[in-house]
Amino acid sequence: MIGRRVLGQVPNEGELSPTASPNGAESLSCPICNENMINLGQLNQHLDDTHTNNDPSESVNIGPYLEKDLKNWFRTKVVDRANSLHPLISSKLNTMDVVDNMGYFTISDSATSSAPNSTTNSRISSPGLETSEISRSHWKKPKGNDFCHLKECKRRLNIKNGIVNCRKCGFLFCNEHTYYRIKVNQTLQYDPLGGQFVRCCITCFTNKPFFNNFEGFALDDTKTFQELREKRLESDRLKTIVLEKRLRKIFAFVYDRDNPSKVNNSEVTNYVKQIIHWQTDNELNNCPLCFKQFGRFLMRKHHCRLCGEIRCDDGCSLDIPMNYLKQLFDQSPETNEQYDQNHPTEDDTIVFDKVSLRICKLCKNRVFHRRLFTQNRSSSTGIDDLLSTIRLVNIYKEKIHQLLPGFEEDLQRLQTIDSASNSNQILPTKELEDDEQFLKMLVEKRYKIMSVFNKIDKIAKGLKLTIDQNDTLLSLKKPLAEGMTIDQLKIARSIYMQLASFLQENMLKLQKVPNLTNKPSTENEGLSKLEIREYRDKLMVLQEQHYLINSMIDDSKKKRKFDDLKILDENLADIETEIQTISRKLGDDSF
Amino acid sequence: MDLVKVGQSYVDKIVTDTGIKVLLLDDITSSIISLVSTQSELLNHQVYLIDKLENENRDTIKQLDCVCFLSVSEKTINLLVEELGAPKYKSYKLYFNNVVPNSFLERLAERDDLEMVDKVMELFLDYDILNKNLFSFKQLNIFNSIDAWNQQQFLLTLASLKSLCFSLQTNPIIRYESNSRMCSKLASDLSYEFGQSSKIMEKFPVNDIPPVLLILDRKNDPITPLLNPWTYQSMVHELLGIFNNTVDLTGTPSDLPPDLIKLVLNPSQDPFYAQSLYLNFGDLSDSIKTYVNEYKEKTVKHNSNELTDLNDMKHFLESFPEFKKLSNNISKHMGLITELDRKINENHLWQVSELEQSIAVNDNHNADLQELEKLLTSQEFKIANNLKVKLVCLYAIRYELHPNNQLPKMLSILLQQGVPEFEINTVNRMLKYSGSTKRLNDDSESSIFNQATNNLLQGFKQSHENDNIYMQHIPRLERVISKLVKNKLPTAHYPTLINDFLKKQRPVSDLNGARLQDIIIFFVGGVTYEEARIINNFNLVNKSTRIVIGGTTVHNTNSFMTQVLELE
Repeated sequence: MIGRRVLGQVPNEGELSPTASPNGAESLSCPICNENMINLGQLNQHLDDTHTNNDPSESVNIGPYLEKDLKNWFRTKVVDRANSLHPLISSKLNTMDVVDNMGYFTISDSATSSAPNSTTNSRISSPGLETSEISRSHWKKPKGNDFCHLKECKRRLNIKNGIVNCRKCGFLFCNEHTYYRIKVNQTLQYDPLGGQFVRCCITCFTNKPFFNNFEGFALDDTKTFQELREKRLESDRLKTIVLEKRLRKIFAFVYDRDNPSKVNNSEVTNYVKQIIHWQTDNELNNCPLCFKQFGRFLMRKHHCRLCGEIRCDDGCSLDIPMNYLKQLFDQSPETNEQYDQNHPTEDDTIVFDKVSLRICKLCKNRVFHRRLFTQNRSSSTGIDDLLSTIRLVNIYKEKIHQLLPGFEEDLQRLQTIDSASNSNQILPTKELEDDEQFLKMLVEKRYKIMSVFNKIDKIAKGLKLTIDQNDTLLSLKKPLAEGMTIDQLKIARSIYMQLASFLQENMLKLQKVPNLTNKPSTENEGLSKLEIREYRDKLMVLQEQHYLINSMIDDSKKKRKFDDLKILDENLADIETEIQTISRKLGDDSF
Repeated sequence: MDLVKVGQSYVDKIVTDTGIKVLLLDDITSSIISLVSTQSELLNHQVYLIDKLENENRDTIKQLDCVCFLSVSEKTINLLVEELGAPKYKSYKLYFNNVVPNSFLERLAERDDLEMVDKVMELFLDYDILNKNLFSFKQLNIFNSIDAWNQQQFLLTLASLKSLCFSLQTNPIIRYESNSRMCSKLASDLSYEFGQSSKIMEKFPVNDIPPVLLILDRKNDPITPLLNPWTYQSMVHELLGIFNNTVDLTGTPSDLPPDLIKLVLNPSQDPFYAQSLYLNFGDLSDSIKTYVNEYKEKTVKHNSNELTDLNDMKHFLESFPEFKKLSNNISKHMGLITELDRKINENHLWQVSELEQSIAVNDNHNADLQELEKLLTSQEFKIANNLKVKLVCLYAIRYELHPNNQLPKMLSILLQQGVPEFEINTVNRMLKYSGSTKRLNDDSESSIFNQATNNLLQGFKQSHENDNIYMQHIPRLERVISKLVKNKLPTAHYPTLINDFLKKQRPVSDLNGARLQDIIIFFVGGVTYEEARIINNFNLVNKSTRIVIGGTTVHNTNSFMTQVLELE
């Protein structure tokens, strides 16, 4: 700890050397070998070069003594001398001392209390390693008129505020902004494990890698999961192939005959007994899947025709018509019926065979799970409408995001033109024509955007209608409208919410049309085409606003916010009068 | 360290994939998500449907992709296995909020024969983020008996604390209070688990100053949760209760419109709240006044007839949504503050708080006793039972060892005043839980009663500049942190645990010394908003040290007394 403090001062001396040397040149000598030195800087260098102990084993013995020697020497030679040198330098030394002892630069009590000959400790306090390795060549020298390098601070650096080099970046800072420590290696790079602590500025400190990284840690298990799944699927697939093969054989047995309709179940069973292992009846007393006890009349034993094992009839196995099975197996897309609800009726489009096949739950899953799943993909239709609405809306939104920025830019250009025309009064005719062209284009663009907005608005209103309808049904505890489910209603609400906020955010941008009434009119009689366009434009804006305010009023009424309502009403009246004046001006030229 | 940013980074991970999707949550994760995100934020990421995994009536929508953010428990895994057996959506991405045991992964993989799962990820968000530096585990009954864990709750705490450290990418040195068996059990188990998680730990960035996790026991400072706080967030929790950043005003006498009954108080969505949540009641009143004036200025402008100009009207329309938001927000905070004020007057909290502070801070037995007796028996101020019991609790803790201790007399007064006996039991339970012999006897022992001391760090001094007699008491936490930051907590009272991985990673000498950079503080038995405020003040001033704080729950006086009362 002492060693640190002393050495903490040595580099400071070095930093001061240019000013110190004229006075302090008389009799400086190395405390260890008594070699004469010109100034403190040289002494410092000398100490580093000649008396550095890089060998930790040696420093075990020398370390503490060296520290003591250095400390005594420092007190007698350097500090006392420094005090007599120059008031500025000495007081600066003191401030540095204070700063370095603020507790930031001590190794903590553990360093002092622990035995001096523990290797790790002497490594830390070993002077050579402490100071020699971190280069100081990058330090900016104080010019006497310095300011804290931190942009937000820019405080004048003096004795009171401190003049401190950040050991990492080398710039000069005030005391307050160098109360930080960072570990760096010889190349001045941040090195959290191999480096050593040096004093640094706030910028270097907060720019440490990962210092401002608040991305939560996440672990991707997808690979592990896929491997696990693959392992399991592989053995599964083998079993499935075996079962599928058997099923094909059975199909061949039935359908490859001349007249399949004459085949009966016992024939099939006899055939199956030939190709698979048929479990003997007395092997089991309970169903191996549901553990229900078999009986003589009620819970009878049945054999699965695919694996040959015994199952009960109570949900663990089921007789399935052969042709239905075949259809499913060949993945015919017509049937929407599921296996579980399969109760053949007269109304069904398929006429089922008399021949059927008993299949257990396990085999069904093995063979048909995937088939049934892919078959049932397209389920309800209402959801498709909603999804296509979302896609449509996304396209519209994309369009607006494309068009709007360009339009806004043009508006700004128009504004500059407008102000220019105001200041110049008379414009060359050619430019005016350009302007007119430009305006025309602008209005067209505006129409385009408006039409997209209108489409979105229409969708929103449609959604709102269905939502409101179903909400009232819900509140009356009645079933929802046909084809509508709770989930679909939720999705519809989400879409509506999104649209409403989108309109609110973006439609307002559109209304920033500059006031063009100051433009000099080129014709005296009636309104110029330009003016008509302007007024129409204005009218449109007003009508939009009129609409918007109206909807806000509705909203407020619903939420019983009468304060808002008052303000809105006044606005509405204002807008209505404005609309009237403009339409009067336009006369026949209005829409 | 900013927990809100961490939480948002997780939400981004969950919803980042393009395409229209369904988000499936469970009870635990839905409250976690609601604290860091809003429905419209999720909607912007094309989450059109949010539902719970346990809801069996979900439609089959084979056109949609599904993203699941789920907690890790037997129940959710069972539900998920069922879901994968009969998939309702096009594909599944699974995000878990903590470490997933391999056996769970195997079970899922076994059931996923349709190959529906695209992605499995472990995110570490098994805790509630309340402020940017406050977290909570929302656990109430963590005790089996005094200073012993309820095993089930212990495992939850352990998992949550682990996820917290993982989410911050830290492998901390653990320190804990030596007098608490609960702390020591948690610390050692956690340290062991960290040592075993080298696979995860080696992915964390290495810091030059290793982070520290300090585990404290509530019993070492029972005073702080008993005192009435006077800053906004703390007061709202004390008097009205904040759960999941929501205040429920149902049952208050003032006539409130329906949309002002359930109020969401989230600093990241409410700028006024973010500004004022640490203000004391006086400053808060000023702050809301200026806020209202601001609003009035705007409305006055709109009300006047200056609106004839088109530009004005446009301006009005553009600002209207904002204006509406502002007015909603104002009525929300006005409602809250009015309600707070009503509660304060109804319970005579000014008088009560003055006595509380006097007991907590000064050493003046006779005066305190007199005042206490006066308040307990006063006809003028009718004070609620729980407040009376709380005052006696404070007295009992403060003057436990005083030669003239009059506790039995106070208890009999309580009984005379008609306080039910089981409520009075709280006082004795409190002494059993946190009496002088139970508290940590470090050198600053008497300090849970003291005012400011000199060796506090910069940030703390500032928070006590005002000579507010209602806020004289300084939580013990401040003194602990002042020492901890300088790394001067005595190891005798705060043992250090360095896990195996950390030992391998760097030399031990590296691990002690420096002024600390990142600190996580965890209160077994619950933290308070007041302590969170202290941490916030500290973080504002000290740029080189960053602290986050949390606890098994966030207490107010009532919840703390209930917790103590329920102790065996």
